[in-house]
Amino acid sequence: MALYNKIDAFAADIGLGLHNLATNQLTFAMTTLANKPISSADAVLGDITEINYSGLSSRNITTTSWGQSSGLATLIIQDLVISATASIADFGTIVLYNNTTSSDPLISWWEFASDITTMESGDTLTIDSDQTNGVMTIE
Amino acid sequence: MIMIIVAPNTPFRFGWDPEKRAVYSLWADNIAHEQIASNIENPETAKFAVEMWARGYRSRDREDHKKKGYKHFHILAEPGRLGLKEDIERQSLNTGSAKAEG
Repeated sequence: MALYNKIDAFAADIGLGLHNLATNQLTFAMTTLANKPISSADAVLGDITEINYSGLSSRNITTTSWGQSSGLATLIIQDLVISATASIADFGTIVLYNNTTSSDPLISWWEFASDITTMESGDTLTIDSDQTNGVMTIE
Repeated sequence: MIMIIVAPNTPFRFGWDPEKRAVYSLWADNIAHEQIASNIENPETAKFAVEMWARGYRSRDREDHKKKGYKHFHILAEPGRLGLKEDIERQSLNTGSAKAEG
């Protein structure tokens, strides 16, 4: 399992009204491991160096739910399968961000053990998240 | 077609027709293409029928990919646990043996 990495700015952003996790369009960005986000410094999409997405299908996420029970809020998203129609640039991290808020604030990121360098036309990448505990809980 | 249903991770959209009690795959202009389910009485059952169809599509798609030698990459994302530290500590005090004395 790829460990969760928190973007520090997110802790403040939720109190600044930057996120409506129930309705905003959440999206995955991708970087190489060499350009992985710095949790303490990076806050918006413009702070990270994304790969060239040419040949990749949509990285938009379908949000299942954002709600709370007994004071525990959970963000659940549907698994995402990204398809390639060409040779894809190397990547090693996936970064969750809010694609609705104008500044594209970052939320969290996960990394592979090493960069994927062999994704070619016909290949797929599945981003698999827990359908009970979601990608994130806040309590 | 009353209700449009999107099936994630497939290229398809579906529609539920309550008069015909059927779910159809749709062309781009939302015209019915092929019936995938019948005797569908309500929206929840329609969504369930679409998800069952989509699971079969994804499974066949993965098998097709394997046969063609395509690579399938996968990442299992650990859920993050964000806590309000003060709240957690307060709960610990409230449930512990130590009590605040006025």
